[in-house]
Amino acid sequence: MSNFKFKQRKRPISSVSYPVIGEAGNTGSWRIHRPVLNEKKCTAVKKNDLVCLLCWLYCPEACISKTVPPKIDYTYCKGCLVCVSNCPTGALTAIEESTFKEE
Amino acid sequence: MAKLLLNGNHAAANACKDVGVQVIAAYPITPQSPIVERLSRFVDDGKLNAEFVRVESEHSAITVCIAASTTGARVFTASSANGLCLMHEQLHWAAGSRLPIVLACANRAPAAPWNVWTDEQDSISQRDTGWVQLYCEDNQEIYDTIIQAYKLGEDPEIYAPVMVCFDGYILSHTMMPVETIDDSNLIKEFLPPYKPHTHLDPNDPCIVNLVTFPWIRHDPDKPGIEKMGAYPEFRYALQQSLLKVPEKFKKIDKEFGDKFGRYYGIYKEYLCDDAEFIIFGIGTLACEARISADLLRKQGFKVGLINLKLYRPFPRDDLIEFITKHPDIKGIIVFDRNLSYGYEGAVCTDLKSTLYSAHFDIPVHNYIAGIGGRNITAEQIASATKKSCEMILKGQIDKKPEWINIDMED
Amino acid sequence: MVLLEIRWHGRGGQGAITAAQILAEAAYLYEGKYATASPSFGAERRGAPIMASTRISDNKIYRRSQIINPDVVIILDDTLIKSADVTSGLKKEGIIIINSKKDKGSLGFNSLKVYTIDVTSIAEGLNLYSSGSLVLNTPILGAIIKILKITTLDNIKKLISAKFPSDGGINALAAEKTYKQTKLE
Repeated sequence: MSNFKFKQRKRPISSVSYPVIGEAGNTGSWRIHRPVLNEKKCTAVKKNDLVCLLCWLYCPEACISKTVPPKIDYTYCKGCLVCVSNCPTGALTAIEESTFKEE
Repeated sequence: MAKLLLNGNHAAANACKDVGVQVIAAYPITPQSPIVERLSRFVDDGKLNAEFVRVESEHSAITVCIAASTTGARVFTASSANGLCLMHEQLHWAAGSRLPIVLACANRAPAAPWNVWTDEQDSISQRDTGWVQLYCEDNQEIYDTIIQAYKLGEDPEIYAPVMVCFDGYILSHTMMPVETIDDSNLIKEFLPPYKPHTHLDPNDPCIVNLVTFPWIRHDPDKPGIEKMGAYPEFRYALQQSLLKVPEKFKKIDKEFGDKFGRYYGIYKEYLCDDAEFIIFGIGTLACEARISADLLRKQGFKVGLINLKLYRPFPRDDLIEFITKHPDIKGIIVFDRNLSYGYEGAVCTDLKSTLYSAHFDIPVHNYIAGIGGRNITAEQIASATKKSCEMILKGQIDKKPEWINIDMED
Repeated sequence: MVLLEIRWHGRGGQGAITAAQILAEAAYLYEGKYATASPSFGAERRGAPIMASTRISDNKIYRRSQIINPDVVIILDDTLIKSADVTSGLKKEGIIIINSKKDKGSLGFNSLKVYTIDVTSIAEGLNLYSSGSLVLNTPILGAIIKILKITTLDNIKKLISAKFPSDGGINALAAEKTYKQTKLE
């Protein structure tokens, strides 16, 4: 999404929405807990291949990418922690938003 | 140009062919069906390059039209009675999306009880959906009005759907002289291709008609749209555009007349110059009432006629101007082939609201006539009008709405 | 001709509506009149009595109501006299044009101007059938235009041929035969 080019547009005659980040709601702001990936424990990273990826599969908001390592889109991640529950190796953990510090 | 004898349905279909509609979706219902039957024939014969979409209901028909119009196509549908009623929800949707769909309504009485004959209750029931409503009195007018309707609806200052209404059977199935324009280049000069305000385009993706809130969004960090309004702003904007329709329609009608030689105006008037009483109505009742005015003139009553073409938006300012210019008017007699249950004819209420809001103290009497296709003659209209003229002259200005030519149990 | 109001009585399938239209076309396209043609409003069924109407005038017609007092009544089939009120509202000086083999005195139309023409025999003679029904509408037009002086035989034949382009001219021929057999007195 981030490389999408946006046009400036006039006030529309009917209700219209063009794709911009957070247009349908900045749902990332709903999080109380944030899932964080510890790459050392992640199966995909360890095997350097598109394997496991249960986090990608289970994320109901399609916020986790099918990549190595899997990346979480915190603009939209609501913090439901389904990924944390389904991670078989404990690579994903939940951190309270209030205590989280950007590195 | 061709001189033809066409019924109203075929006049409507020929107009759609001549303006080059691109998508047609309709579900058959008497008395409208021959419109789309003829259009499907035009498409099949290659005379009209349009997508003809078969659907399973009127609700789907208008929905297809909405979707097609959203892609930027010129679209057409037609219906009557219960079919039009089934479209109701999507009629709001079309108007709110500002899509210049043209719908031909062959007026028919809504059931129950079951009835296939003419009655304006079907379109009058759709009055408050945000559609423009134009009523016709002959088949030439149906042909011309459909062409005008596209020009009106597609105007960037208007962008609204238009319903072209005409009495079922009385016009839809009666053949009358119609001069068709046929020359698509000549029509294109009058009606250029439709330029949509917003349209679905995979190369510039968007969502149309998403939810809007009671409040205005304040997200200055969203670069997509400047000052996107909220729900009330969209409704206000539609109302403002519709209020421009009377002036816009007069311009379009003049341009049409200058080019093709036929003028209609917002209303047609007959013998109004010195009139003391005005017969007022829409559709074919008001057409036949010309003869009633003639009959009453012979009996010494100075009667004129207004046949209203533009019913929604209601042309308040034009009617006030008319009344101001005709100070002799002592009373107005409204004939309605429709009814706002529990009150009176819909046209009568609208006229009274216009008159009294402008402080014209003119008595208005209302007759309900021709419901469910009941045959109403000029003589019956004249006799009811005469009764009201005599009452008003005697100072009896307050009169309840009266049904004429009806077998009352009492 | 201020306003001529014609009411047609036929049975579903006999072609009364088409004939009503052709007559209106003749008046409009060839004679410069204003004309309208209507079917009876509502459902129509094969064999059931139906009505149609034609209005012809020098001026634009504003009447939209159904005809109550016709100047002319056209009856495609004399059995309709029993099943429909064919003379309803007919003006005192009105005309009846009826397809019948019977003598006009025996039809019971007292003191009215009646023209009887045996259109059935003409159609049978030409083997003029459509979908199993004897075609009565195009032949009777020959009688109507002669009696009412609406247009010429040539014009009505042209219109009939335009309506039935692949009939080999038999409908127009039937109209011509009827025209010639129609006696004005």
